[in-house]
Amino acid sequence: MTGAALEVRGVSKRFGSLDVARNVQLSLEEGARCALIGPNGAGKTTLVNLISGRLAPTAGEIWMSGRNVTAMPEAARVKAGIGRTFQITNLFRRLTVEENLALAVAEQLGAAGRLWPDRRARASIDGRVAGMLAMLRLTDHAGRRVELLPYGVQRIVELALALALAPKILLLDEPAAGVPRADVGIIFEAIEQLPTSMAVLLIEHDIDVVFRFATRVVVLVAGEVLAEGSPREISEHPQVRALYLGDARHE
Amino acid sequence: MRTTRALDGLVLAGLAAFPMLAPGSLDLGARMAILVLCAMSLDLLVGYCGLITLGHAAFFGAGAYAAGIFAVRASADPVAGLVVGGAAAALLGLLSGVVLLRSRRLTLIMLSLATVLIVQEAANRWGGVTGGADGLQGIAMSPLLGRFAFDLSGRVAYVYAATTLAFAFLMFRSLVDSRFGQSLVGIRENEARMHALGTPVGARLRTAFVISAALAGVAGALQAQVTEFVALNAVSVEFSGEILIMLILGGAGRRYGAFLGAPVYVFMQDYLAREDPANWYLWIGLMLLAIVFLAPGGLTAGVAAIARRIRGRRS
Repeated sequence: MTGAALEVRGVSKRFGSLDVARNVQLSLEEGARCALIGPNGAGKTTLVNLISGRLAPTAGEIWMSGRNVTAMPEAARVKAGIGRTFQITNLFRRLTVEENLALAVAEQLGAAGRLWPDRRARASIDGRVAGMLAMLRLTDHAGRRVELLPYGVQRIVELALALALAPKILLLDEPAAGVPRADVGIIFEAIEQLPTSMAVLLIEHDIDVVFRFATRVVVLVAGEVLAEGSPREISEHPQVRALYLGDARHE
Repeated sequence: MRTTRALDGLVLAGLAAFPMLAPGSLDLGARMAILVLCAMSLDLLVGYCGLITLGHAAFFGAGAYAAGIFAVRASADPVAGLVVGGAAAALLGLLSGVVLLRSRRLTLIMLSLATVLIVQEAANRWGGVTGGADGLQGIAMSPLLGRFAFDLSGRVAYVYAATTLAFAFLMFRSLVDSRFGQSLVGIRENEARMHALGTPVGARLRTAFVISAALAGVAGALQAQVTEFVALNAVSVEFSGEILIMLILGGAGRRYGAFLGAPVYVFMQDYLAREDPANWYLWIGLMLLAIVFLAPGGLTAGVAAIARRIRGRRS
């Protein structure tokens, strides 16, 4: 019995006197497609930071496949299979797209610590990078520095960086935020093609996207889980309708 | 890539050709080779990891003292002394790295300064072994590889220093071209993101720190052996600063920065000290300012920009 791919058990986080997460319970099975919604400031990104190990919880535990990882540092959790994207693009701006991806791929293949140039490792890294570039239609941008790219393309690189780690659990923090309408399709197409074994937690404001993508939706309000269920249950939940969906419909 | 390979070859050819080009300045050549090695080792930290430190003289000095003491008390064999110097500095790098690398920026600079001061004070206090303020005397190196005695012309000393530098450069080159080197660049560019890629950032930086310290220690050992003397100012804040200036002058993180910066600095220092002994530091300062404003990436970047312009005009 290994348990769920990811389990958040009663996690709380306090910043001074502010509770940004309150006794949050969340569980992702292998291959789950779960969406995390909630108004701005509900603590969605904080929850991603707690799961990925960027922040340490004030109380509660994080478990991965039956293993308590609460005390595990961020980098080790990545090695254990958690990958994430950042809501605000967080890239190696002065490096090229290719170099960005190679950093992630080399780390994933365990070749990043090698102290001398290694042709075999290089060939396999280059191959994987080329595959990622093609999949996300970034090939034309491969040799360009990230800071010179339009923001929409940078968002795609952000997603590529997380996918390059081939995680078992993928946390997507508003992957399409700031992406021009025309390019949003590339991002969600890539998300739809993710391996079925990968558990995905998606933070997204576009309710149509959420309902199309997710089999389960968690609603977070003021650091607390307000409701959880299938998209249908959530769309019929009176409090959720009042609090969140109603607002979104009027936007 | 092809340009890089050609320039790498040029560097090595330059080291080999120096005795033919300047047969009367082999002493100076050896001194330059040692400083290039030291600045190159610092480049690993400053240019590639993005860690600014003013503590590099601690490693240089540790290597110099270790090699000097080893020569006086154990064996006068140069190559063995080189290994001892490198190992001593690596050990110091390992120990100090654990503490220093917990901090960044200003705090790191302060802690690195403290490291130099501690090592210097230790050398000063431990006079029975290090010679204290009088410096470490009584070093008499045996012939290199048992055959080539260090002569007055400085030929053997130059060949020894230049060969060591050449090997160190080959290692440095392979390191910065490796995935490890690339991951240091990633840490320099966005350390937080590297954590999210699963990079053991601390371990990578500690490894770089130890390698850098070892190379600086080898440079220090060379200096002790070639001059057969170690002065207390080999472990000084001032010398740390000079090394950093040489590197910035040449261009940090640009592979050849040390090879341009250190010789230009030494040359200017010699020239200015002769022409205007009272104000030479002022001139060095003005030169640095000019570099910072005209070629922010140092001489290497300046030369590269000129080369691009010439190439652009041709095509």
